Amino acid sequence: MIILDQVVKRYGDHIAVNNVSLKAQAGEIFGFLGPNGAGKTSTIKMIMGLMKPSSGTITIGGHDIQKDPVSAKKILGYVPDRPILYEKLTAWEYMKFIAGLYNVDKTGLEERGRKYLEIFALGDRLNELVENFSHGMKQRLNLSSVFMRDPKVLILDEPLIGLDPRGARLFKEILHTSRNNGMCIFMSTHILEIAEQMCDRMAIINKGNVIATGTAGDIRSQAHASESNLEQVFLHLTGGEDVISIVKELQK
Amino acid sequence: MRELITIFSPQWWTFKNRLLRSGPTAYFKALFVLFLGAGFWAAAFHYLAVVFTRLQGMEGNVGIVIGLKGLSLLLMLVFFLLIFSSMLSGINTLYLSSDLPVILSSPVSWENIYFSKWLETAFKSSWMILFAVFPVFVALGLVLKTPATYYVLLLPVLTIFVLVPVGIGVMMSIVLMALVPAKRARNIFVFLGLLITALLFLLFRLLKPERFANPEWFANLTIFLSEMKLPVSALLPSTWATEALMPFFSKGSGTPIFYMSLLLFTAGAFIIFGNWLFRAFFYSGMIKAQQSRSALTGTYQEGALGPGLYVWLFFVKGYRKALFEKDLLTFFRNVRQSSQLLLLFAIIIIYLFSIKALPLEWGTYLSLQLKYIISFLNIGLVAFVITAVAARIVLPSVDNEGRAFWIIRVSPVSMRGFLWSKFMMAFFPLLLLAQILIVISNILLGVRIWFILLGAGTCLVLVASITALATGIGAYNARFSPAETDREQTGFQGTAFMLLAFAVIILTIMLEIIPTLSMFMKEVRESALTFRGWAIIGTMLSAAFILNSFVIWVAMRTGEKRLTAME
Repeated sequence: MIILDQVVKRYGDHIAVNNVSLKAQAGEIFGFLGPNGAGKTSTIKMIMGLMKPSSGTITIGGHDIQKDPVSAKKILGYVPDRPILYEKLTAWEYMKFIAGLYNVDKTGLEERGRKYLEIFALGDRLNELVENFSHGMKQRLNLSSVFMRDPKVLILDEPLIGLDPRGARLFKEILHTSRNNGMCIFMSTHILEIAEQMCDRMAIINKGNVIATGTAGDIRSQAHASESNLEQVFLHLTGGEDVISIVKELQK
Repeated sequence: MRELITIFSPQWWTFKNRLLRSGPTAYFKALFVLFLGAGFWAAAFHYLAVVFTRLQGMEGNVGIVIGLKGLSLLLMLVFFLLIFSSMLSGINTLYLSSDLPVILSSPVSWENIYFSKWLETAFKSSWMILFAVFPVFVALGLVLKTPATYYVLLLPVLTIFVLVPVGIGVMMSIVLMALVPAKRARNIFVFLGLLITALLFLLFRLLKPERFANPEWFANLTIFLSEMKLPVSALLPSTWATEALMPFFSKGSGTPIFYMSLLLFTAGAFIIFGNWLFRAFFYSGMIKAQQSRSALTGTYQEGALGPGLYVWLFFVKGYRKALFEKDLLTFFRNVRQSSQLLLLFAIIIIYLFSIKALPLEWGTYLSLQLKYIISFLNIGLVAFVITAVAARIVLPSVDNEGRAFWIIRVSPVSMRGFLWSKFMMAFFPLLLLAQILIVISNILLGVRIWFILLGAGTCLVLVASITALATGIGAYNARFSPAETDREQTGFQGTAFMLLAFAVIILTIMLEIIPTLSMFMKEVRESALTFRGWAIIGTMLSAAFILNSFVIWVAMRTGEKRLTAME
C-alpha cells in the first residue's frame, strides 16, 4: 500500500532523508523508529504530500502522491503528534467538516462519526468548541474524524502523546482491529515498548538512512543482539550507547 | 529599571534577530515599506502645503481660522480614536498576550508589569496615528513660517498629548475587564464597535462638511468666523495640545509651557491612577479573562449560523460546502473578525450620506457635468472602499487558517479548489456591498439608467479582480502563524495589495473615460452614436474586461502555486 522508492530529501547541503526505500503492506502495522532529527517527520511529511522529495517516488495504494495527490489523499488518513484543529468549530462541526472534505455521506457521518466520538468519550461534548478541549481531547477528536472515514492507509506520527491511559488503550485496540480488517498503518514512535508490542514490522532510521528493517526479531539479529531488549538494540544501532555511561555518571 | 529592561528584552532580541538574520527578501520588503512610508509623508506633506497655502490666500483671516479649526478637530478625532484603540490594545496586552504566563509566574514587581504593559499599549495604539498626523503639523508650520522652536516642541507636545488618551484607554480596559461579567466579554466588543460607529457618525454630522461647498450656508462672514473660532471644549486635552501650538501659528503670545505641563501632569496622573486600578482589579480581571475564553465559546447547537446563511450554503455542494460553512462559523465566532462588520455598516452609512449631501441641484450644464463626473469617480471610490474592506477581511483569509491548515493540505482538496473557495466566499458579499453603494449612490445622484448599469458592471469586474488580488496575495504571503496576521495586514503584503488594487482600479476607470464621455455627450446633444463610436466604446470596455480577467488569473495562479509548493 505504501511504497517509498529511493526517496531523498535535501535542505540545502543537509540530507535529511537519504535514499530511503520501504514497503508497508495492507493489513500490517509498520513501525518507524529513530532518534530525534533522524528524518522520521520529513519522511512522514513526504508520504502525506506535505513535502516534496528531492528525488525518488512515493506511491499510496498505486497513486503517486506527487503526480496524483487527490487520489492518494482520498485513501490516506493522518494523525499528527500535535493535533492543531479549527478552534472555533464545535466537535460535531469539525466532524461534519471532515466528512465534507472527504465526501463521507450523511449516514457515514451519523453512524460512524457518532460511534467513534462515543468510543473516544466525546459523545457528551459534541457541541463544545474545540478551543476548550485539552491536548488529549483534541487528539481523540482527530482520531474519531480519521476512523469515521475508514481510510485504507493510516499514517500516525507519535499518536499516543497526550492520550490518557483509557484513550491509549482504546486506540491500540482500534489499531489492531483496523489492521485485521486490512488497513495499512504506518506509525512513527519513540516508545519502543509500543513498537515492539504493536508493530508487525518496523524500520529504524538514523541520520536519514534506514539502518534496519524487519520484525523485532529480525532487527535483533541484524544488530547481533538476539538476547537484548529493543531499547538496547535501538541504542546500539543508532549510536546512543553513550547514554549508559551518562546515566551512570548521573547516578553517582 | 533592570526588571523593565528584562521584560522588554525578548521583544528587543526578536527585533535584533529579525534585523540581523533576515534574508535579502526581508530587507527588500522593509525598504519597500520604508520607501512607501516616505512617499506617503511626501505626498501628504505636499498636498497639505498646497491646501494651507490656498487657505492662507483667502480674504481676511478666514483661511487660517479654517486651517486651525481643522487642526483642532483633527486632534479631537485623534484623542477619541486613541482612547478606543488603546482600550482594545490594553485588553490584548494586559489580559490576553502570550508572554503573560511567563511574566506573571516570575518574581517581577506589579509596578513593572503594569508599566511595561502600559508602554507596550501606548506604542502599539499610537505610533501609526502619530505617523499619519505628523505631516499635517509640519506642513502647517512651514506654510505659516513658524519659528524653529515650533519644530523642537512639536514631537514632545504630540507625544505627551497621546499619553493622555492612552492613560484613559488603559484604565477603561482594566475597569471593563474587572467589572463586566465574563460571559458578556463578547458583548463588550460588540458594544464598543457600535459606540465607535455612533461616535464616528456623530462627529461626521457635527462637522457638516457639505456646508463648506455651499457659500450661502452662512449668513455672513462674521457668523462663520465666530462659529469657527469657538473652541471645542476647554476641558479636552486635544484643546490643550492645540493651545500649546497655537502661539506659534498666530505669532501671538501664549502659554505653551502651561498647556504642555497640563498635558504632562494629566498623563502622569492617569498613569498613577491606572497603577492603582491595576493593583486593585487586575487579578480579578485576569481570572475573568481566562474564564471568558471559554465563556465566549460556550456551546453551539446545529444550525448556529442562522437560517439565512444556510439558505446560501444550500447552493454549494461537496467540499466547497464544508469549507464555506467552516469559514462562516469561524468568522462569526471570532470577535476580532466579525466586529469589523460594524465598521462596514458605518462605511455604508457615511458613504451614502456624503453622496446625498453633495450640492448638485443647481440646475446648470456645469452641475449636470459635475453630477456625471462625480458618479464616474464614484465607481472608483466604491472600488477603493471595497479594497479597504478586502484588505481587512479577505487578505488575511488564507493566513487565518493558521496552523490547522495541515487539515486542508492532507485532504483530497486541491490548492486550486481551496483558493477558489476562498475567492467565492469573499466575492459575493463584497459584490453585494459594492452594488448597494454604487446603485444607491447613483440613484441619489439622479443619473440615467445606462450610467447605473455601467457602474454596476464595472463594480462587478473590479470586485472580482480586487477579491482575486486579496486572495492571491494573501495566499502568497501566508505564514499560517497567528502572531503574524496583524503585522502582515499593515506590512508588506497590505501595502503591495493596496498599491496593486489601486493600479487596477485607476487603469479600469481610465479605460472607461472615453465610453462614458461619448455616452454623456450623446445624451447632452441628444444625437445618435456612429458605428465607429460604438466600436470604440466596445473596444475600451472589452479592454477593461480583459485587464481585470488577466489580473484575476495571475493573482489566483500565483497564490495557488505558492500553496502547492509550500513545505
